[in-house]
Amino acid sequence: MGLRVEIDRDLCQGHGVCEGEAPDVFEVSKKGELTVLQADPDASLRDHVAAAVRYCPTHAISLIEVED
Amino acid sequence: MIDEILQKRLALPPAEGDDRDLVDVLLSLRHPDGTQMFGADYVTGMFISMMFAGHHTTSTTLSWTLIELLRNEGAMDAVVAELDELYADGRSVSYQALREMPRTEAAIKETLRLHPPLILLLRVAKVPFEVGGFVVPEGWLVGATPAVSNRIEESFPDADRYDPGRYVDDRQQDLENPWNWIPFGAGRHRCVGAQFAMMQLKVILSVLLKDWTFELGQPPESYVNDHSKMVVQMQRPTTVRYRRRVRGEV
Repeated sequence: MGLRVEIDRDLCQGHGVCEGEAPDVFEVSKKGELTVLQADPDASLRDHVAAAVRYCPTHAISLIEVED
Repeated sequence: MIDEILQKRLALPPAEGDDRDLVDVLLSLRHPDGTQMFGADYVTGMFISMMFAGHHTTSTTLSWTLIELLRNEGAMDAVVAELDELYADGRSVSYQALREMPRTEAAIKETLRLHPPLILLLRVAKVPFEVGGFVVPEGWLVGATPAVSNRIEESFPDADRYDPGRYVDDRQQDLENPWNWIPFGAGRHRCVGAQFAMMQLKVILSVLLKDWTFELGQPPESYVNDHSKMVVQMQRPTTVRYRRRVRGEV
């Protein structure tokens, strides 16, 4: 099983909480533009990405389990 | 009152830089054609939202959190134990500390599920949609009620039961039900203060439960909401007894 990060761009407001939680996966510019650095992050990053999902102020991030 | 302040600011705008506050910034914004972006009505509305939307909601939630922790066996002990351990080394109530209290966070979330301080959220249907066989036409005003959505049995088994375990470890019933775990609403217009409110509640509980211990002041089932006012509040009397904690005692 692998992981996939999905962003609802309609909801993202670029607060940058995700970058604080998982800097290897998310990068938010000063202007608030989000770049997903790893759309299929390694399982070792699961806890960090899960924290980003949980603490995103606009609930714009989903973490999905995918078949390898 | 707010209008008077706005008129003064408009007449005498402060210099650039640190003297400017949010009122000045909002008033100074212009459309590309030079017209003012936000009029007095609009800015007044924003300030009313900011000043008042965050008060009774948070205080009611805090009251309900204490009551639920007290009337559900073991619930208060779990939270106090978590906070005692977290702050055992004398660390401060910091942003980092607030991220390390899953039990406390779960207790607040479960309180919000059962007792959402706002019970009617109004939205405009941007597209027609069907619900329960009824087609809601585009443009209709639609009311969603967190008090009902938050207790849908299929999403929250044993929905009337207070169970912070719904949000611990792999169970995340709030995230699993983004469209009907809605104490803060959902989507584009989800509460802008949600994150702030959660932090504020965790700070207050951290400070309060460190030095004080509580017990119910009236029968457990007598705590209810009063829906007769514009905002939902707990029906008075709402009493608890409190005393200072003796060090080392739960």
